[in-house]
Amino acid sequence: MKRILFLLSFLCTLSAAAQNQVPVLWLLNSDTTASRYAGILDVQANFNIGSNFLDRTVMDPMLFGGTIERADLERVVSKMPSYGKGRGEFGITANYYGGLDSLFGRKDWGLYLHGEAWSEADLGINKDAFALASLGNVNYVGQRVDFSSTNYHSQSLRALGVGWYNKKTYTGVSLSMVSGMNYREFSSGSSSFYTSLMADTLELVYRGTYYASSNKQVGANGVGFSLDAQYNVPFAKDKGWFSVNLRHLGAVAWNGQSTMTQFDSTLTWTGVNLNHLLQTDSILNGGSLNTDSLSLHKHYQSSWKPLSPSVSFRLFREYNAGKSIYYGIQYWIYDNVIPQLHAGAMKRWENGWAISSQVGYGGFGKLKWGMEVQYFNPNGFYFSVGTTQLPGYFFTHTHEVQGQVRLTYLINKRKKE
Amino acid sequence: MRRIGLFLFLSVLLFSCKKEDHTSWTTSWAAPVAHGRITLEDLIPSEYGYTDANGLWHLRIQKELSALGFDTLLSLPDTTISRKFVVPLTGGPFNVPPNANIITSNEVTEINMNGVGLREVYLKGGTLMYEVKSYVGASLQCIYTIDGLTYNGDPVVLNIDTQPELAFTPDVQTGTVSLVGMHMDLSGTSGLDYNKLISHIVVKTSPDATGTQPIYGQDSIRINLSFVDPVVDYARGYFGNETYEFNEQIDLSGAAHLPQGSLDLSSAEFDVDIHHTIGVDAKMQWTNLQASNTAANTFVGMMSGDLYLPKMMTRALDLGSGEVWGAHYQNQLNESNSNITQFLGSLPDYLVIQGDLQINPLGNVSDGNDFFYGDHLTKATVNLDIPLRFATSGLNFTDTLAVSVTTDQVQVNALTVPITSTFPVEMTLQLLTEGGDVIASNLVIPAATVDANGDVIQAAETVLHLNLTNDQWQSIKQAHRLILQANVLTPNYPTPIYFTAANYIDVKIIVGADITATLH
Repeated sequence: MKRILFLLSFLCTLSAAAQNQVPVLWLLNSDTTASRYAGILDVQANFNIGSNFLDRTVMDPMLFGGTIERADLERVVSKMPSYGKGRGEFGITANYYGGLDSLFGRKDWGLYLHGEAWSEADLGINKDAFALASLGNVNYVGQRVDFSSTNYHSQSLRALGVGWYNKKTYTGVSLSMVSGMNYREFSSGSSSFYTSLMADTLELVYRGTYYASSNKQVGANGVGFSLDAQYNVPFAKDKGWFSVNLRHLGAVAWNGQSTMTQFDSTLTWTGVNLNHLLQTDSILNGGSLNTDSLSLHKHYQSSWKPLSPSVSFRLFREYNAGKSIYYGIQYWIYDNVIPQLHAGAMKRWENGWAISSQVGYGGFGKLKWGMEVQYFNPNGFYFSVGTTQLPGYFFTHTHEVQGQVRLTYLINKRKKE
Repeated sequence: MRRIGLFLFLSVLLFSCKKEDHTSWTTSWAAPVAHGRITLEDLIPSEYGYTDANGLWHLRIQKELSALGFDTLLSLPDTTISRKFVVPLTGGPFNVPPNANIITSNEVTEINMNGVGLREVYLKGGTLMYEVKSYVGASLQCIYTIDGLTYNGDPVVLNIDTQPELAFTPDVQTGTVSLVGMHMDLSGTSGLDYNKLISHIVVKTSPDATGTQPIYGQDSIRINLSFVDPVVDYARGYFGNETYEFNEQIDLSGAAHLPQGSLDLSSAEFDVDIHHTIGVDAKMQWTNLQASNTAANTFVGMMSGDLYLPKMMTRALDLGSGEVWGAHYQNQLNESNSNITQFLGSLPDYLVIQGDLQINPLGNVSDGNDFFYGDHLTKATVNLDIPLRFATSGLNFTDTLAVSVTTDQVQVNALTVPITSTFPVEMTLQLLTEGGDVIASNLVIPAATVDANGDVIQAAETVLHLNLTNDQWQSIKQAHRLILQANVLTPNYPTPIYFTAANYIDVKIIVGADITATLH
């Protein structure tokens, strides 16, 4: 019966790992005495690019350069849902878990240092607006394309903080000072693009805001804070763990060199005036734009902007012979993003190796299937490499590519003579 | 330690990533590039056309011949006058007290005026440059007065202090005086001479010198005066009896847009108007008025009764205060008195106008009182006027359209041109590259409907479609221009139609283009 349950979980549950969670192997090897390690140096990197409509034929050239073929764009548009979402993230995190014998008189408490650098970007756009931008207006002659709900947001940040943690469960919380390097945010209001039936008139109704940090200043353009926490609760005699992970709860105050631009314009283009053309100009060498109304306000503005917080829940249970299942949910606190469900199964061996497989659905991507390989040597180091979307590496029509790698150096305490 | 090093190495290796190139994709757009209402005034610059009181549109070409050569009178030659003044003593040194005259002299200098004898000149430009060299071993004050050069009635006085020579090296003092607004009296001491400039000089020991100054006999002062770029505003004198030749070409192929084909020229006129505003008698003679059609290699000379006979022109009258009365001399050539139909019917691309003009053919009859004002020189103007009333079964217009496209990111593949025309002619268009490759042909714009009087009662509407291949687009891009040929048919030929200022063509140009978007 247990085997059947295990196989059903493997096949039917959904999975995706939440970044920066404590590895399961750590928890399974939890130091009940809280005194094994003098310190733990943990470095991890991860990237994740996912979308519910873009696939790798489009994402790869956007990330690494190159030409996006028109046939690929047409296929992507044809399969695109009414509202498209996408997100990209790249980050490096380093934690040092200190090995103090005690903290506030508690031997199972310790301090850890947290350092992190990451960049992220997310995009939301409706289908017609994306089709217009990627294919042109030839399919929208006589129509008005609405792009009111288009938004884009990106930021690059660094964080350095300190936290408390429990040496047995790795439950902990850290508070970091965040240094904001770069921030861009575009949000469109009621906006549209109209092409008349004969294509002799184009009209752009353009309302929205664009907020951008300074690109002149060297170094930080903003200062803020981030609260990161995880809560791990064992059950079933430490063979099961329930985890809650809160990430990037905080905000950054971008400095007064940042610019806020507000658009409220209607532009109509009917071509250059032929009378001018015949006198001085050539057809494709200049022109004039009829500005029915043009409102553009740009000013410097300091502003608090939230980080991109996420919260995840995970339930893990190991059965006999090192077989286990886990499942959970991760939720990015954004509009228009459904929670990402994930589940998987893992097999570990006594020699420290473990392999897991997982499936997931939601978030910024679609259905995904991932694998992870881990090695844990309690007397030396921990290593893991994995992905939540393995097909993304092999098939260009997949909607997500994710990868993570983690190296941990475990500093054992010397046994007292 | 080795484990930590390996750990860091693997960390750097695994976390490296870099983007190498930009992202691009091709989008397809339909967009307007031009629109407008084209009238004859747009097609033909206003200087080449006008509408008469009846609303009939005329093609007009007006060209002023370049001053008939008189402009050479306006600038006098650069002139340098060099005079040496010697202390009228022998031996020395003589101890001379301060402020004592040692040289005084009155001078009359003849100035070369390009063979023209002038009695007075007002100048509106130029510079007088002077240089004084003193070979005297004392501080001097040189007062050089040019009596014949005045400003508001006051003579120009050059008051120059010099220092003693040093080891046989003269002291040199220089300066300039503007000639703008200067009056030159060149009539000499008698008031009847030409080109004679009166001046006088006083050289004395410096009033500021301390004690006596050592002066030697035969010590000298040299003064050099240079008139640089003098420009004449008014001149009086005897201008000689030179003959000026002129040879002008009027280009009709460029901006004038003279159509190629056949026109009804029964009402055409060709006028040559001369306004003689110089105070000299003159003899004017056309030697050649010719129409040249380069393409057809035809040359037609204008023929008309006494056109080529010499014409005497009476001198203008000076009314004072710069006002001049000058006589007009006009040749009006039309179908009744010339071969203008043949002349213009050859559809020339340029006209040749040659002639000569002799001044004072009877000699100095004004006794040295010829005159001219710089801004009132005799001018000749050519006027060509053709009412656009014509009938044709195949009149060709050709124009060149500039297409300046420097980007490779735009590939135009189609043109759509909706047209509404109120011109009472049917036009068949052809587009070619400069190399002669046909882009499109047989594009027909139908004629507007006219009533029995030729008035337009209904506009014609049509939509032209052109598809461009990549090769054609590349050809246009490389040549940077398109040649538009229009073959015009008038309805009910040979009944003439006419153009008025109310005729127009409403045009929109819409392109279909692939545009390569690039994201850096």
